[in-house]
Amino acid sequence: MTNVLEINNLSGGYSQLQPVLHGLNFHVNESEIVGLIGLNGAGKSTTIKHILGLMEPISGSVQIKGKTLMQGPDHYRAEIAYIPETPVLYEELTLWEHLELTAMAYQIDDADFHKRVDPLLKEFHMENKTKWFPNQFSKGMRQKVMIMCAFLIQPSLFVVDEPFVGLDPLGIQSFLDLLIQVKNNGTGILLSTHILSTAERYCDRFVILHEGRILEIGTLEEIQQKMKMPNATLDEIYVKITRGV
Amino acid sequence: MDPKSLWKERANSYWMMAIRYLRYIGNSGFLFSVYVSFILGSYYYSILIQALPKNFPAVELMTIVLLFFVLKGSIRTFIKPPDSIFLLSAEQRLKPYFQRSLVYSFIVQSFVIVVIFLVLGPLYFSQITGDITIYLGSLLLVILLKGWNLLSIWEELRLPNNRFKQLSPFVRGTTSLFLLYTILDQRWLLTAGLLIAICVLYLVMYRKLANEHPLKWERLIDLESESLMFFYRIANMFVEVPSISRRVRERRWANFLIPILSGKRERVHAYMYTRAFIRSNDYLGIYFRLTLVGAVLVYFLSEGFLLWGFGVLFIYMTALQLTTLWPHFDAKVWVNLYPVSQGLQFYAFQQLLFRLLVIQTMIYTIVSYFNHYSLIQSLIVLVLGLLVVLIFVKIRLKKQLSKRFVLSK
Repeated sequence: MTNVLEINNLSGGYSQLQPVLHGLNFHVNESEIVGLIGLNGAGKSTTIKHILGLMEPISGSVQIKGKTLMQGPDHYRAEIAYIPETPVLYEELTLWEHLELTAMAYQIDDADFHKRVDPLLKEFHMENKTKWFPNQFSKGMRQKVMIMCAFLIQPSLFVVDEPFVGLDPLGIQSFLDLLIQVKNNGTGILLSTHILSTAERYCDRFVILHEGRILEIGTLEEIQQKMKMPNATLDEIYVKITRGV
Repeated sequence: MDPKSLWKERANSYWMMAIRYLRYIGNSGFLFSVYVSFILGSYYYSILIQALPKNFPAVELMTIVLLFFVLKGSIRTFIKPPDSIFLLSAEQRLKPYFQRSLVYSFIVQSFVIVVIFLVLGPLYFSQITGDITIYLGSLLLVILLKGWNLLSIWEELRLPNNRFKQLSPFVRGTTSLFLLYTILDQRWLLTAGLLIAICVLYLVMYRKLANEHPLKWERLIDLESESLMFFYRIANMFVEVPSISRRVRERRWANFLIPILSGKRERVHAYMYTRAFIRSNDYLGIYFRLTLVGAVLVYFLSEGFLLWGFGVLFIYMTALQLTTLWPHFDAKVWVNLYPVSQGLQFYAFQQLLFRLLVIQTMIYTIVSYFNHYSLIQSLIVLVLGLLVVLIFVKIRLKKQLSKRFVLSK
């Protein structure tokens, strides 16, 4: 197995003079879902921004398939699909145009685009809403647009920031099913969330972030053993760890 | 995806929107007051220039004025918040897009420089040199300097927040200052030397940043939304701009105004309007600024029509601007659900406007008294002011509002 995402000793933040992240080390393998867990303000979003290359490391590095952003700017970003916490859409574009734009930006050819787009629309029950504009969508539907655009890309790495809020139960299930499907096809997934029960069921490993530092990292069993809390749920472990700091 | 056509599309849709608002501004009577102040301004300007002493520091003054316009002005990229997600992977391919943004910003801001240079022209010719070739040559050099600044700012935007990022504006500012001074003081040898220096500076320091740092999308989005907000805020003085996000400041020091403006027995609409006036957007700022500028004019203008006219003009302008407060609660459903007659909203608004304008009239009256110490002059200011206030609030207001907003019965 190779690492899709490799984070080495990453320190970073908005200001290079006041780091928010302190020496993070973790990776995401192919065919693996890694849960990024942390309180509000723990540094999850900042970590994600560093992975996307929206922010620059103060020290350390972020590599996608062995290359940093500036070593291969063309390939780096094409390998990542990102689903943001709050959906951000073009108010003047329809659902279909969002999908088309994504295909253009990621240089997906027409044949692939059409092959991928129909099953996605069907899965999220949006086939008859392709001509709708974002202001006609509910928050959950906006989220679905972002999700569909991300799945259209078929990248090496998925970065997903709190996807469950606002989605209806069917939407959540469809999303998780698709996630498993792309995972089995070899994609690595970094999933940031507060819904620990879901994370517990779907993630292979966990990175527990607190105040910009990694507190624990590993599979649930590994963390349970280390904390001497066998059979404890992720929720219980999480509360124990963060309260203990 | 063609970056060039994407840029064209974005720029076009911006200008479509802008022209719509500019038309409102043109129709609002604002242009007339610009016209009047232009004529008055150029009259006083020419008197001022003739009265200037021979040793007036014209070069220094022009350097400072031009420095402001050379450094100021950001790059209009026309990018939108979703771009940082949807177009992220296309960053490298978007080069032609951003090049267009740079050229566009350069043209627009060069135009501003030309206008400033024209305005400063009389000062230049009377104080520095009468040679028009030198004048035009200097203008060209200043425009070049503007271009250099834009290019450097663009690369500077890539920098992460570090010491270099903090230092860079200083470097640009100081070099621009020196270069402007040498141009205006016609020290051509030094100018040439500095020109070469800034070219080297760009090549050595700024140009290579593109290979070291990716674009900072969030910063670009912030900058773009700032430029957009700046435009909206200006447009909002003349017409309600729906996309302006309402900014709220507490302005606790202004709370003493609330009882004065809303009266003893506060009613719900008066309650809302006074607080919105003080805390929301820039209503209070507009009111203060217009009152201040009007007061300064009233303090300096010679007695007679000019004094009375400007007093009235500023009261009328303030009244016009304040009407933008009317639809402040239109989007709030609950206001319509209050068990209060809708007519009371208009009454409350009328009352607030009346009080604000009467306060302004009184200020002008008092200030004008300190100008001439003539009771007659101040009395005329007072009577004319009150007349305008009454006519506007009691008669014009309804019509004025219904021109732009839907009035409920």
